[in-house]
Amino acid sequence: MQNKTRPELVSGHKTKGLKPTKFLVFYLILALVVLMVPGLTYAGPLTALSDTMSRLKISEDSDHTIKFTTPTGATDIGDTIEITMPTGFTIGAVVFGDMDLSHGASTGYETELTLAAAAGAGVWGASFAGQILSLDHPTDATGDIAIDDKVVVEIGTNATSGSNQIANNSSADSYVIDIAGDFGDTGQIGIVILTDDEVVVSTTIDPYVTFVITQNTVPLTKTGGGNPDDTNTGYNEGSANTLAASTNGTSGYSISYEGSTLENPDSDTIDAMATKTTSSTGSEQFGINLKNNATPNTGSDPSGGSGTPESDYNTADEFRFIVDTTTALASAAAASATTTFEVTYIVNVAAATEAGLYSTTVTYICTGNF
Amino acid sequence: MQNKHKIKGLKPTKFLVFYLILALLVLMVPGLTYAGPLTALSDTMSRLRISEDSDHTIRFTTPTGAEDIGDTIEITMPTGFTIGAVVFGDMDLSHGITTGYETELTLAAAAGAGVWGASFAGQVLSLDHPTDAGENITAGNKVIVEIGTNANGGSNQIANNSSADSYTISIAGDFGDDGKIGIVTLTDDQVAVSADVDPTLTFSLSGNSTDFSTLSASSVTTSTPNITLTIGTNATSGYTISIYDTGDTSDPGMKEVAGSFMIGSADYSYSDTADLSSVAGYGIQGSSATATIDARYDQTGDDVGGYELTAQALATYGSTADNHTVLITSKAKVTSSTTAGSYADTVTVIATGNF
Repeated sequence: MQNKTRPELVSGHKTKGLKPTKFLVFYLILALVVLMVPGLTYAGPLTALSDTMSRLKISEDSDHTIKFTTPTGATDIGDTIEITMPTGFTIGAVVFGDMDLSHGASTGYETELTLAAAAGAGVWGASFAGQILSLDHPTDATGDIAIDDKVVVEIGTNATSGSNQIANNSSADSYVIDIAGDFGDTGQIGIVILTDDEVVVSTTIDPYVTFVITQNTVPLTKTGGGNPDDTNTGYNEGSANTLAASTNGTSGYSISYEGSTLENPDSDTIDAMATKTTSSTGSEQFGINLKNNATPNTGSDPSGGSGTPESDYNTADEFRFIVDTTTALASAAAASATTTFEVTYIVNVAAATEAGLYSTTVTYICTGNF
Repeated sequence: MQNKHKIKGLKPTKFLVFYLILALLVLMVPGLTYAGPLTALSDTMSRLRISEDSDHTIRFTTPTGAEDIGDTIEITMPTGFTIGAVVFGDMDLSHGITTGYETELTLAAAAGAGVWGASFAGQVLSLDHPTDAGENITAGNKVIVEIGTNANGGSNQIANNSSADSYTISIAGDFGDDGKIGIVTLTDDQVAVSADVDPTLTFSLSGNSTDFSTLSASSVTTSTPNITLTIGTNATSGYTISIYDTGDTSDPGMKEVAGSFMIGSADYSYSDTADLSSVAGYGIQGSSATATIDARYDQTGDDVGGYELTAQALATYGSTADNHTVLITSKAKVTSSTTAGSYADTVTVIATGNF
């Protein structure tokens, strides 16, 4: 009977010479100590680990943004966080100046820590030895990384003053970054390297020029309607003739016009305005411009794009018309979205201007300059 | 030396020397250039209207040039543009460093010695280098191809596509360069501008009365003031001013107000004209710097033209007139037997525009 195992006691939990009741009490006291001693935590696995790289291409220099949450923190002098980069990743000239170390409860960026080649008072040491980056707690009680803080380690040009980067492995594969050290926590991060991490996107845009003319028939009447006379200018009051042009030509576009002056069936003509000048009733004039005019009150300034009228047609209340010669009217110097030009036509007649219906046809040309 | 740069059987040092010699050759061989994209491309058309015949002035700058026998510049017009009867005679080809017009090349249907071939096959215009080494287009030159009536001797043009849209002209060929030009056609590329000028006639008199005061039997009296007629019209055949008086309604002249005696016009015998220095009577002289005064009234000195009871032409002008003036001077003389009293006459002037 003495050798029988007592059924109420599990032999694996039996402490030599300790009775079951005392064993239970020992367990309970141990649990209370663990729970009640302030700040007492366990080393454990890091969580929320990641390494965001700027490039994944083989042999390419890359920034690293390593993030993890530490259940233990690094709160003691002598604590060290060791980050081991995979073999084949070339650390090169990366030093503490190419790194940022921060931590915080929310984003991990709340508190930026001061780094140097070696730990000092209030200064974390940050240096590579081979593939291992050692982040060493300051030599005094400052600069602690609190328990459960998020930690962010930036290496490369993403660090505030960083200029040197870690070169990726020359073989396309998956790799592991180890995080350990005597701060107590451990973890691993998987990263991947590709033969080429970029996609070259291309398309071909054909050269184009667009040109739209509205209102192909333009009667010239005096203000309020009726035919012009020697005291009233005729203009296209109720029929806005617009020219709208656009192009992707690197040298823009050119708009020109060509036409005769106004002429009646008896071949009587109205003098065109050979030089840029203002409208003047009582004398023969026929001219155009591309502006918002006051005298007569008609037209509008060009809108949209970068097209502009040539100087002879770019002054309000001044008009010109070169007869029977292809003449530059407007242009854009570079690729331009649609510019809409409104053409104002004016006519003035003298008392002696022969009666009759005068007309002309103006031909507009738009050329893209590629 | 990395293996990937190592040529089989070639040691690293020799490989480097090979590379350097190749680079030197590329840089030092005179005139050695690379094919590339054409620049400064444009096509200026004479008409953009759909289906309309149009000239084309095609410009581009060639980085490579066309300097070798066999070089061909191919210009492909967009589908739907009708080449029609366009042949080499309807084209000009020139090139140069500044404007592109400096050197005009000789064209023919096919390339020959010193002659460029220029012919369409479908939509493709082939410009073929001469069969000898002359007439090269130099690298970096501007090139101008004129097609249509803008070419010297050109008469045939390319008809635009019948649909209004944007189109692309492609330039390529074994001269090595290539490029594209965008052009556009419109439903209508013209604006018809019209203005209607109404017929006008303006006419005014400087006054509506003139007075001889007291007439003399020994000298000719001129009334004051003279009457100036001002007339303007845009009638293409000008104007006619005519005149008549009332007289005593039976004969022209000044009638005694309280009686029936008449100072006849132009004389007491009612002649058409009279010299008042020798006879009594009453009439007018007309004058104008522009209008033609009718012979009856084109008088000077003491000569006058007589009124009639019906309108008589005073002045005419055969074209449009802007404020022409006609001066009427009235003169009279009486005889010693003319009845004393007041005399008066009503003269009417009429202006007619001849449109």
